Amino acid sequence: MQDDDIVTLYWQRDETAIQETQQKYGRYLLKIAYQILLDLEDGKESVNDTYLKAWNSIPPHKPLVLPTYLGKITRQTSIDLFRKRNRKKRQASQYAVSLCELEECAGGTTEQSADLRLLAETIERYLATLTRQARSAFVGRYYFMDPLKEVAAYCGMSESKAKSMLYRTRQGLKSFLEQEGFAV
Amino acid sequence: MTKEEISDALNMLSDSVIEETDRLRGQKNHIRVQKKWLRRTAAAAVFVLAAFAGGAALLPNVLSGAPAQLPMLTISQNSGGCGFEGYMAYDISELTGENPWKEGAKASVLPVYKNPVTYNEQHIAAGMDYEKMRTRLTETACRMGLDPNTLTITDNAPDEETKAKIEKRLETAGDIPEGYFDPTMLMIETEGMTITVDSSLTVDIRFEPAVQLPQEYRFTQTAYQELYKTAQYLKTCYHGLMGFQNPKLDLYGGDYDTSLYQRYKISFYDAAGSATEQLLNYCFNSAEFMANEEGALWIVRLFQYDLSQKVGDYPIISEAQARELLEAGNYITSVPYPMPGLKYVKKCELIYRTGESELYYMPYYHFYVELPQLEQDGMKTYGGYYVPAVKPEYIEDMPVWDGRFN
Repeated sequence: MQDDDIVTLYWQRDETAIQETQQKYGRYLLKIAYQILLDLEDGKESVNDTYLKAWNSIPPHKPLVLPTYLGKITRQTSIDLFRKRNRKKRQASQYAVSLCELEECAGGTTEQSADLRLLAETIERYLATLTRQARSAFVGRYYFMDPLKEVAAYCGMSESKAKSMLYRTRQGLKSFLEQEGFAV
Repeated sequence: MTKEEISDALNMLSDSVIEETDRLRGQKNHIRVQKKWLRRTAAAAVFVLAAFAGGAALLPNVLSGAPAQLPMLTISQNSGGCGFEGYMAYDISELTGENPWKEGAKASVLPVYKNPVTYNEQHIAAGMDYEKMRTRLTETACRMGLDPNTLTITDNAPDEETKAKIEKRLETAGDIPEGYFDPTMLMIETEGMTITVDSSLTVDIRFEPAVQLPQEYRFTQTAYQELYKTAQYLKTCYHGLMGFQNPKLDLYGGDYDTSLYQRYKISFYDAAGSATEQLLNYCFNSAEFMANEEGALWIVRLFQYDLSQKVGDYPIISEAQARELLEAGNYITSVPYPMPGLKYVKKCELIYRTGESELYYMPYYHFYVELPQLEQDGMKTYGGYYVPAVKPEYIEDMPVWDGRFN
């Protein structure tokens, strides 16, 4: 079924919308959840929550690209669950590992919370200065939390190159955020 | 600002930024750069869940008695991979490939080679042969019709200014490891293409812009038969580049991605020589053609591993014996489930693992095992499990599954 048709089902309050979503994007979403949570059962729970949140938010939303819309919900839901549950047993999750890497760009202080919307806009402006390959590597690693090997594979480079590219990108982001007045 | 805030902010990136990468993720089979062992083993299924290299633990040297003339071999447990090797398909028959080894084939010995390049904990390589890399690069350039006298070979080592910047950044982190700035790749950049060679002697020819194929040949999201035609066209065009005596098409894949597209990859190997030579060519010496998102030829990748350090010809076990070891848990895998039982074994092939973390290039029986936990609406996932094909008395650290999930 086409995404437009699935969204129409949501708008018609037809519960088969969820079945269709599950059929088409269940695995896609589970992968996002699993890389954050490192637990299949928690991952499934997060994906189920995603269906519920999609049901509750469409309408009024009418996502143009359904997987991206759902993926964002799964990502945030999984991160929330990660924070709620015992983190210790998830130290090896891709989320935990990617956070360690992102620490290089952060100030580590919680005294002043960043305006997330502004921060997102700033990061996006920084990403726009990068090559497509570097941008995809960054988004793949820190948004989708794909393992380095996968990122390297779909960006068409060796793992060592991806690693050094990500390092340079993080360093660049740090400088950019500093210039923009963020406390790093 | 905290790292968590940065991560949270990424959730607010524009859809277009996320979609750009997501499209690439969906296309991963076409542009992957992974080494051949992944190409043969983990290349396809996108249902990658686990973040660990498998639950195998090692038994210390419990098997001994190998004849003195052949050195003991060690198994490389760390694939370096993070996902698990799984192939999604409705039926095992959908997974295609032209491995010259056939189930039930009889071979008594197979060669084992030492991987000349090793990596330390900081992933700094030792044993790289720049001269061989240079030769391989120049040969390829000549086959592409470039004049060897006009070629400029560069590498990917950082320049002095960049080095200084990195050193400054790292000065608080302690001494910079020796070899940190050594090049890992040599390259030739010319108008229209960049040719690179890495430490495993794998060459990439990257066309810039990508080469448009005649309209009748489709390259992306294409059914097997159409891709077969495209492959034949590519074979005609690049026969000389591959340099194979008897190029055999290996249109492999057939598994489904998360969008339920069936993916295939175009590869050729040299099917000349004995059965063993063909197997070695299949695993170590092949050419793969990759398209960009628009269906134009983007990369030709030439695998030609350095097999100069032969350790010896080792006696190998039969497939039936390998199944016994598989059942006993003597396998390595990245799948986060124990092997569910022999009745779930759906396919077997003999391959060499050639990942960069392999200390030895040695043969394995590669079993495709249906994972009952992951079946959904008729879509099955087949996990990859490997049993060393060399007789156990030559293996110093025979792997044993210990039931750990992580």
